[in-house]
Amino acid sequence: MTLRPPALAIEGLVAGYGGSRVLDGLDLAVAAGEVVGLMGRNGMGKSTLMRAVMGVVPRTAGRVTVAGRDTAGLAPFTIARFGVAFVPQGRDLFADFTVMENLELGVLGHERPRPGFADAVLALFPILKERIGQKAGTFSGGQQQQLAIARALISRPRLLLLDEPSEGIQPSIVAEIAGRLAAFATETGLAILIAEQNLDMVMRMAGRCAMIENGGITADHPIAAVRAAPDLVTRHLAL
Amino acid sequence: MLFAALDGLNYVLVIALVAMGLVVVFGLMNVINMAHGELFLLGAYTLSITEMLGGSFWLGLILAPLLLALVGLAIEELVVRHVYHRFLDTILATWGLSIAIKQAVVLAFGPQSRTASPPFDFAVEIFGAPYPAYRLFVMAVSVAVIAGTFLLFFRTRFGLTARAVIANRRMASCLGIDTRRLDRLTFAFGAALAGLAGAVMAPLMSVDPQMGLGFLVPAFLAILVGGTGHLAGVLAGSVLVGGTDTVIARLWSPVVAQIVVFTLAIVVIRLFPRGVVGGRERR
Repeated sequence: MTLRPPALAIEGLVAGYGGSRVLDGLDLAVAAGEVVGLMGRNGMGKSTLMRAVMGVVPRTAGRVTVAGRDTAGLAPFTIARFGVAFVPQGRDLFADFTVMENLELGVLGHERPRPGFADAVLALFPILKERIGQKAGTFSGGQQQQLAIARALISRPRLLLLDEPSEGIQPSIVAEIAGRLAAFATETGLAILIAEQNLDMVMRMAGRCAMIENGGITADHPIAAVRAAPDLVTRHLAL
Repeated sequence: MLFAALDGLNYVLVIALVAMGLVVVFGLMNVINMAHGELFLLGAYTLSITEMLGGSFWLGLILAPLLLALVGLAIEELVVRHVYHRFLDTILATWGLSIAIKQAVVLAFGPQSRTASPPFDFAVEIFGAPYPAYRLFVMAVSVAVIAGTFLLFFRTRFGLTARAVIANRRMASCLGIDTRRLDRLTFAFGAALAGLAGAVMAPLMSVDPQMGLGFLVPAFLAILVGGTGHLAGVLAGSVLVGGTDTVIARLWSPVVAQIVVFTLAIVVIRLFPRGVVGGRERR
């Protein structure tokens, strides 16, 4: 087990928009099957980190490997094919397309997944199966988030990047999604990096909580420590 | 009057065919291909030269879209790919390309006009009067290809991925969809449509280095009027532009028709900036 390369390894990553250094020498690793919460105030670089891993934001220095494979200079679709799935902030669903079409788009760029896998993903979110022919744009926030996660999972990724999944969703639904996703990760060995400001969601899912500040990781706590002393995290989130 | 309507329909369908290629490329790649008229021209020349070399009309009709698909691939790889992110530069680059293609054709085949022969030149009786069968064939080909394009974009996996890239290129790429491959295929497809339109129209018109412009301009107007948001907009725009042109040209003169069409285009664009089909704003 220890010989297995981490699902995601980031070393000295520098990235930003138009020459700015939003991420400034960031290091972070996520092991296979591990769920890591990434917490920090707005503007500290959470979303930029997600996008830089995905290859959407240009990187100027550092190394990002996915399951041991270097992703330098690759287009997002190639990185996706290494087994990285992304649920961006705001979800970016195809609003005019049906649930079915959105899910199909999750697999079309990948090799055909194992039969039955799509059913396993749909079983996580029964509402999607009920409304398979409905347009994604007509969904509520919580339903859209479930669809966005299902669209990401259906390609059978090894690493899931979730950017602010709880944003604009009522707490009971957040708890439900978090619970199912955590169970799914344990079952399938999926690694998850979840950027959040909602400590509750992170505590429900993550085994570790990394704090991001000024473009670098400043602290990394086991979740048990955070449960015992939430102040470890919350003092960094307060303004 | 019936024949005028048929001729008008013929014109509308060919404009729609040309405009379809333009709008597909614009929708997916946000590139306005000013050289599209010259791709039409090359399609017509392919047919004319195939016939000159002793090949049949049918061979030329098949060769034209295939050859133009290759030309499209080459243009995408050599020119368009490098200017994607600079919208104005794509217009300049493809405009330059249109001039270069036109002059290359003049150098290779001379400025004079050529001819292409239809595979059959009998007439069929429609309500007791003879109408050229080849014109009906052109309409049939146009309808079939337009229908095929709709099926391709709305009923196939390729179409689904293409529409996804149109809606949100970045997210589509994040889902693992090879956007580069799609760009290449789309540009080749648009070029093939232009080539086919040129080939099928060649026997009905003078095949010369200027012939592309006569279809590019109404095709652009049709897209402006119909809106770029939906393929159906192309059809609506073609009917409006082509139909008005034919009717007015018949009733008054082609010059008046041009003035009316341009005025109509300005009015429609003023009232429906997103085109008559694009209509409502999307959130």
